[in-house]
Amino acid sequence: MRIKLARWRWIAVLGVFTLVAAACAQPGTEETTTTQAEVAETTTTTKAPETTEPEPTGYTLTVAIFSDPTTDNPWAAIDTESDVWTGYVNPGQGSLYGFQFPTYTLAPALAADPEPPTVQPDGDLWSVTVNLRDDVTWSDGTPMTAEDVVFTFETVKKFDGLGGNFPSAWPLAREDDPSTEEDESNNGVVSVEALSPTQVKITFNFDPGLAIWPFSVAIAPIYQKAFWGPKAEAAADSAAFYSESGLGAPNATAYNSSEREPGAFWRNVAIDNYWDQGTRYTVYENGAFTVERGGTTETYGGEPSGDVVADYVEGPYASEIVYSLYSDQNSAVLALTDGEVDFLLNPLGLQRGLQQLVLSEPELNVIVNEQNGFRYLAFNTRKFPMSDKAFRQALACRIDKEFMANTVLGGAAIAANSLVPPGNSFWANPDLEETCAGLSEQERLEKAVQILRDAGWTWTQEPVWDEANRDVIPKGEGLRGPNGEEVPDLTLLAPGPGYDPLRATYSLFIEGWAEDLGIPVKAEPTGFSVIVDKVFEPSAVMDWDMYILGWGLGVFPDHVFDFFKSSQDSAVGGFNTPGYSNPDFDALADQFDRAKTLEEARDLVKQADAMIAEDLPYVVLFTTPIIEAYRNTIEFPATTTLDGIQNWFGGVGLATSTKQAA
Amino acid sequence: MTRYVVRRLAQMVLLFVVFLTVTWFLLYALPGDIVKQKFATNPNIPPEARQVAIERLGLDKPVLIQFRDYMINFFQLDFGLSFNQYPRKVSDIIAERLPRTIVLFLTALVSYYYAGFLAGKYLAWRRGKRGEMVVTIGGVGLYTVFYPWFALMAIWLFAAELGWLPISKFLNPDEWRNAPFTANQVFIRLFMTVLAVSVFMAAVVLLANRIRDHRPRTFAKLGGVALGVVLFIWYWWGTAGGALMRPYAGDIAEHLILPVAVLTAVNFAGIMLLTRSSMLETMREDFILTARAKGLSERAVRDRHAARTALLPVTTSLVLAVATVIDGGILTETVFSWPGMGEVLVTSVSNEDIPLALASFSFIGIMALVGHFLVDILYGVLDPRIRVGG
Repeated sequence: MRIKLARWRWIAVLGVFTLVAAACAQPGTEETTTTQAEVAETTTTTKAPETTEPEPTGYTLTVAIFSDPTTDNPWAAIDTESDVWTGYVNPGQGSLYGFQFPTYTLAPALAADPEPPTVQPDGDLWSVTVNLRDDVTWSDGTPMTAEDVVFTFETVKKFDGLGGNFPSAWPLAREDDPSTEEDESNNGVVSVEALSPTQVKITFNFDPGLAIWPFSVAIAPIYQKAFWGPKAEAAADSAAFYSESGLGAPNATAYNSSEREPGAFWRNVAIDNYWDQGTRYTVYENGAFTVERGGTTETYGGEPSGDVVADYVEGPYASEIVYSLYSDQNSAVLALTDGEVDFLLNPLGLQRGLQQLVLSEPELNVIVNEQNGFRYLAFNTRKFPMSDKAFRQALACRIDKEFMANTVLGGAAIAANSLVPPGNSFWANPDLEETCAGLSEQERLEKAVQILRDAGWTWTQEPVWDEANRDVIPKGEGLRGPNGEEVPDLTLLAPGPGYDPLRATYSLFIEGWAEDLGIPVKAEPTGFSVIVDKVFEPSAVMDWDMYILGWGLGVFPDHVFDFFKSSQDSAVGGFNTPGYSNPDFDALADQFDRAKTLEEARDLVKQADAMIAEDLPYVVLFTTPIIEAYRNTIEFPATTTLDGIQNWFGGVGLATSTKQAA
Repeated sequence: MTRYVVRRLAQMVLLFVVFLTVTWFLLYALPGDIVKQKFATNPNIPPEARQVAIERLGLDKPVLIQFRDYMINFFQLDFGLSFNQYPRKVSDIIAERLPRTIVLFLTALVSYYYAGFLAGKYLAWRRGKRGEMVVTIGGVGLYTVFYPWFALMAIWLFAAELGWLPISKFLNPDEWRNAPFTANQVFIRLFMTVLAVSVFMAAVVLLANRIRDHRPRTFAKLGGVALGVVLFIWYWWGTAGGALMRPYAGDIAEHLILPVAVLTAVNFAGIMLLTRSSMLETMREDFILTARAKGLSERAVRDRHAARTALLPVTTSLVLAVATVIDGGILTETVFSWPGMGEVLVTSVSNEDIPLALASFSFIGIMALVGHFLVDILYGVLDPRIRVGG
């Protein structure tokens, strides 16, 4: 009996193994192919219509992503569902103008005019007429016309402006309340008319500055009327409209979405009639570029000068792009090393700890670029002592950014001074220096003391630099403002080390430097959402003293004004958290809003940047490098660009010209 | 018994309402809201767009009104729209994540409970021997290992270096090109067929146990198991639907091996030690002495007398563990890129996607309540000494 029982158990175990083996076994190819076709007609899946799926013939570009895209509807992808991952995988729509890789020069896309035409007065209104290219086709082969532009605007209007990025992309003109002052938020587009199939007129209810035209409306997405029109017509509200699947929806880029398996992958397939295929782009250091298309060469963005930074022929080269989801960077790096994926696509880049691992693999390449953003210290200028410019300047003087970036943070950060990162070369102000630049620690202390003393601040014990101990001994005590008011205990909110060790470390050093001066600051590691909740809450503008956060930025630097003009005070729901209020700055902001040329706008940005560096509602602290890794089996047209390669992967941008390495 | 069941059910409903209420207010007490998190730090989103989002998500209403609306909708089985994936229904997101979580964690659960029970039984019987020391140290060593590191090492060794198994994920995109099924359809079919075969086998074995004679009883059990295997093979090879889906099910099963093996290696020791202590206690009972005195073999005493009685706490633990299977596990899901309910729970809470977080917690709460209820009932069934009061 004992033997039989044992045998029974072994048979049971074998049975389980058989089940697993049965499930794992692969069938013959022939059987699968024939039966798949039969069932494909009857099974509901998340596949796109068959007509938009050419069989892959070239190589497959496999890209690792780290979060699941939230939607396959390209309208919803720009609204509240927008996140960077959804933006990466949605193949994009097309727009009148775009940005030229890798310099971010404004470049014509679907528009025929080399430069965005200027907005002209038109009765009580303002309008601009744009000529469209006549050779642009949607991925289904039909021509893109002015009617598609009109349809896009009318759909946004039908759903009351939509949300998320739409109010920026297609701002709707609204009626001002006659009983109140003119409201800037009612400024926008009144109408879009098709004057001919290749000519569209856009009318505004105000004279728009560059921020609206061209840097919002001209780069706004345009959707195909034939596909989306009936769906928009049938949808009762935006929620119903967003519930429509966009897989396979025609677009004007080189790839069309094909399949999506939530939690696993997204597939875009190359279209066989991409209108820009074969065009050669040569981009120069100064941002100017030439376009060689159909035997003619045109130059854009000024006179080319400097080195060629990119020279490539537009693809698509990959027959399909597979975005493969990994939840963990370690696994993704193993997949990269193993050849399972070609590129790790991440807005934050590669973790520094994994950089060495990647560098040790000969078949992997690592690129490092500067991020388009900055981390900053903000003062609540509504409260004493942060309201005193000398106080802010003295504390800023104590902050040795180079020491922090290079010594304390070990190169994980890049010291920054300007509100526009140097990599955004057209707009940046590389000459802007930090407060007390080039001074030693002793000199910084003495300068900070001098700034306070000159402004009428007093101590019961003035801080003194002790050369023997190379420290501040004694530290400052009993600091009082010019009117005799004692400096209260202050709190510096900063994300904790688990969220961002760089900012957490920085906050501790600022606490120390402040204490040297006799400023009782306590660095308080705080959850990111707690800080955001506190500093952006209109009713809590007096509940904080200082904080450290960061911004990710766009190319057009209107943030320089949005962050500080008084109409954007966070007390009324804007971005100006410090509550900075300076009529001179507001005047600059008004001029910027009305600026008509890039050069004029750039000059105003530089003036504003310098004004903020002097008044210091923010102290820009540092930016970070973005580290990216890819296999040497693929080749990008260039690898040096602000915000890294990843920033060009949105809407299949750079993937179109990514080749298989020779 | 009926009165007891009715009373327990009433308690469960009351407890669930309290649970839901407390969870709702705790989630709403989190600092900030999703609109601030998502948009306040994005300079491209103007304040009016934030206001649109607030109104869409219903966050402009007073808190008590929001709570009232939520409770009414919840008990009408309307869990609302996800804040983070607006306008996607919360129920759709859970339906998408649940099958893959259940398949992974239920398979792992069965695997490590079975391994733990066998090892625990062995340990108790081999007490004081070298084998006990080796298995205990090995098991406890694995139990205390830093799980993410261990899982990554397993991926590195078995997937990246040896190439035997895939590097994480639950499918290979290349093999799913133009697949006529979604992964969820395959997960559900896989789960249902394994469940059906298991239930069939269990039913045959239970029925066979009623046969008094040893030989026909063993024959019936073996026949039942074999028939179950044959049925399984027949479905996946012999039917059009099964054959068509088989390559995709095979791909998922292949991806299942490594996470299940790692979860088994790390978790079996807990069950092993539980079984061991239960067995040791049982082996001191008089009825074991009696069994030995009757001249039964050591294996018969161990397997048919001691182990069955020692199974009680293990079964209790198993039922409660089954109830928590839908939690998934954020570490496993992250390391093995198997996004399931664990990932939903963590991201929904961290993103303050309150409808999604609440619905997820509610499912877990319901499963936990049902699990405890079943354990209470099961105790009475498994152990004749326990009887519920009326």
